[in-house]
Amino acid sequence: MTYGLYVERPGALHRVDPRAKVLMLVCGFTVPFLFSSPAYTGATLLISAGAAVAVGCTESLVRLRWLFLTFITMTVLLWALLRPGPTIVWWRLSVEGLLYGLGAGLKIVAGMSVGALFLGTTTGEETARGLVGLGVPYPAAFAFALSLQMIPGFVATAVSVRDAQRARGLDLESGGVLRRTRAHLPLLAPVMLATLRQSDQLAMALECRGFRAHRRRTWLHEPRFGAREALLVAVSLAYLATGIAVRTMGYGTLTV
Amino acid sequence: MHDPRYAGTIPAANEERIRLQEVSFGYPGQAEDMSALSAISSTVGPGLLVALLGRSGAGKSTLGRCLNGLIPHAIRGRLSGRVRVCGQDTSEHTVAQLAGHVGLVLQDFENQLFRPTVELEVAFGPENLGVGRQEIRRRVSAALEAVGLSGFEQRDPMALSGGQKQRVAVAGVLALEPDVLCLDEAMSDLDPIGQREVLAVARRLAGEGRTVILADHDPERVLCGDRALVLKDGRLMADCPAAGLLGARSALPEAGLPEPAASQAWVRAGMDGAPPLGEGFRVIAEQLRPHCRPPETRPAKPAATGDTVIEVRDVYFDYGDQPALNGLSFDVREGEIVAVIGGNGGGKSTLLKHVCGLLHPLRGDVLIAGRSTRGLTASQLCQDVGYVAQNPDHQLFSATVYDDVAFAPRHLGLAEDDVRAAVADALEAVGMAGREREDPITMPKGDRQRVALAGALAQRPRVLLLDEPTTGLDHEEVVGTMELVRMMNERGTTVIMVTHSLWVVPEYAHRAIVLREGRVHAEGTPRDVLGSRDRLAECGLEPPPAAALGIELGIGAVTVEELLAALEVGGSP
Repeated sequence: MTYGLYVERPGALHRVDPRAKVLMLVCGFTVPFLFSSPAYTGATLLISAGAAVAVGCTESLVRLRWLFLTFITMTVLLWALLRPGPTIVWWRLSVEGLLYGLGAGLKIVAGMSVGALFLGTTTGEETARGLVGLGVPYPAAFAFALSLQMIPGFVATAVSVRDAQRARGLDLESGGVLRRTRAHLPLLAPVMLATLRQSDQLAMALECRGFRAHRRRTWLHEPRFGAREALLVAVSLAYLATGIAVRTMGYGTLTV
Repeated sequence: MHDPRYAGTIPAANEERIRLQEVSFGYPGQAEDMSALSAISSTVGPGLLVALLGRSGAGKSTLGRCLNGLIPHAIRGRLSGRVRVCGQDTSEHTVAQLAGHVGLVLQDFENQLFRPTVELEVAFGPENLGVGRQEIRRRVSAALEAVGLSGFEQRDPMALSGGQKQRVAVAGVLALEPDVLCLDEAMSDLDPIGQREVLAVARRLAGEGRTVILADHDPERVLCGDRALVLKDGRLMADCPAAGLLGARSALPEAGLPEPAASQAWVRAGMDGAPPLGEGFRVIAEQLRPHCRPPETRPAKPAATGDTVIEVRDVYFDYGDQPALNGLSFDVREGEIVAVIGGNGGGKSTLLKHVCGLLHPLRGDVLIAGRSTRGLTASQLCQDVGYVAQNPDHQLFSATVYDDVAFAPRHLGLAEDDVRAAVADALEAVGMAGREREDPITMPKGDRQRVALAGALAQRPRVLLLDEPTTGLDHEEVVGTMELVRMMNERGTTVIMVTHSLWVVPEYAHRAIVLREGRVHAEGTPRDVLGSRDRLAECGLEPPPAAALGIELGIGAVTVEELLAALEVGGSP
């Protein structure tokens, strides 16, 4: 059972120079945040999710579906309450607040979809390589990539701890949201302790294998910036430019 | 200095790879007289396979960490004496600088693998050292060939078997081309086939001229090399040829370590010297045969006659695209201890999770005392079924032993007086009475395992499920844990335990079930199951040493006790 987002398959974006993909990530993440109208943020969601499906990352999106739904629901409710409008639907909820919340929720999910597209086609290793290629110091890039790679292990530990506690009578299934959230508290200590123990071991393992031994680190595989990379950069920049142009022309914002 | 009673003749080496001079080390907070290492002195030459033996906490890992400089550079404490490896004083060079001379493979191999492919995992070390690309390729290829994993370059390390993962971890260190390689408890989590793979690699590397140190608490696994160092409470108790620890003058019992079955048989038969452990059981059996009594019929443990308490009926389960249980069926009777064995990935842990309601069958059914687990959660089943996970740390979370053990009884709604009684009974049973106020998280692993067991016992379940209850424990701790299991069983608890330690099966179980690819591959008394080498081999298993010798001798013995009983004392009829 795996808990990460990376999907190993010969997709169009797999093995593409990670520097180009980091640029794609930045552009893909920026564009949805240029808009507030749900029609426009929804369109950016369709573009990023469609791109993820097209390059074989459907599985990554499916794994995040509950997170997406949670974000949209929470954002819609939050903004509906915080942003009053003249057209009241029920109690303090207005059409304007709901639309603003929907636009905000969709833009977050659109950004997350680009993240899923990146992480579904890029290993933590390649991410580190890409960041180093863009000038980030290796220890920082490695730590970032490692934290991404450790998420599946962290989740696996949490599942294992959860199982052990459920077998001792911890009831995580019944009751309301608050009761179920409180029921999860006993999981925190063992998960944190197991993770700390793992991190300690990992730090020693890295030392044992010469981590930061040499100022100039070498790489077994050197990424190559070729035609595919150039095309990806061009498409990403064109997407960003289009987004900025549309926004500059005054489209994509809520008028109320 | 080590005990002169246990000093064998160690051939002088032309070259010195390791020199330890009065090395002592104490962790922060550790009392001066309780140091992790005390005045260790020894020298080791090249081309040797060295067994570093000792009970849990004897100082094996600490010594390994001294060799590669983790102590004193990454782990602080009181270090005195000198450690020189390949002519380098470890206190004057960083871990990274020493990495090209001495490689340390840590105990938990899962935490040492962090790259997406085997090739990149192995290349990590040379890349860090700034080695050129062509040279990295050569080293990766050579390291993978040395551990027998050529062709695995593009595989995901986390998707490999336990033995293969451990070999990847070894290759990752080998690619640094160290002259000294130390494997810390590299075999304790592996099935017998995985253990054999790692041992074969260690032998080959020593044959190439490297110094290979195998730190372990089980002499049976590693006493087939050239040299042995035995630690007890941080002191070097014996430093001798490996064979010096076999036979009549063995230092192992005094160090609290189990003597290999073959060695005990050798002594029992009055043979001189030491059994040739490295040459296999067939060779040893040939020499023991003249001292063997004719085979006799041994009574089996009386079979349990209680009602059927667990019925597993044609169960299918998978994790997405990974099948786990594949039409599994068997019954367990009240009062039985059933051992579930099998190679890695056979479905053993998945089975336990079905019985305690953590998982539910996709097809088929699991019945506990006639009641289907369908629609029931683990917390609803916990009054009938107690489950102790493989890692006790996943179970313990309270600040005191009392609160941890009281968790389930409180959840079950018992009155506080009844909770107190349940906790007292459970702690008494596991020998932890009087330690209610201690913090379980900071206890040694054997004690943590006991607290976890007490937590399950306090539920007063009819059935107790144990997932690898002996992993990571040394021999005395294993015996302590298994005696507890036996005692609970005698009080009426039915037990199903998953285990890799096959020697515990004939000692404690009434019945053994072998799983392979999610279904029952063999089932019967431990004698029948462990006596069939071919059936076991089909699942990547081997009979435990006493049973293997019993098979070679044709006497049907499966435990050390039975093996010794079949030999004539002192070699004379």
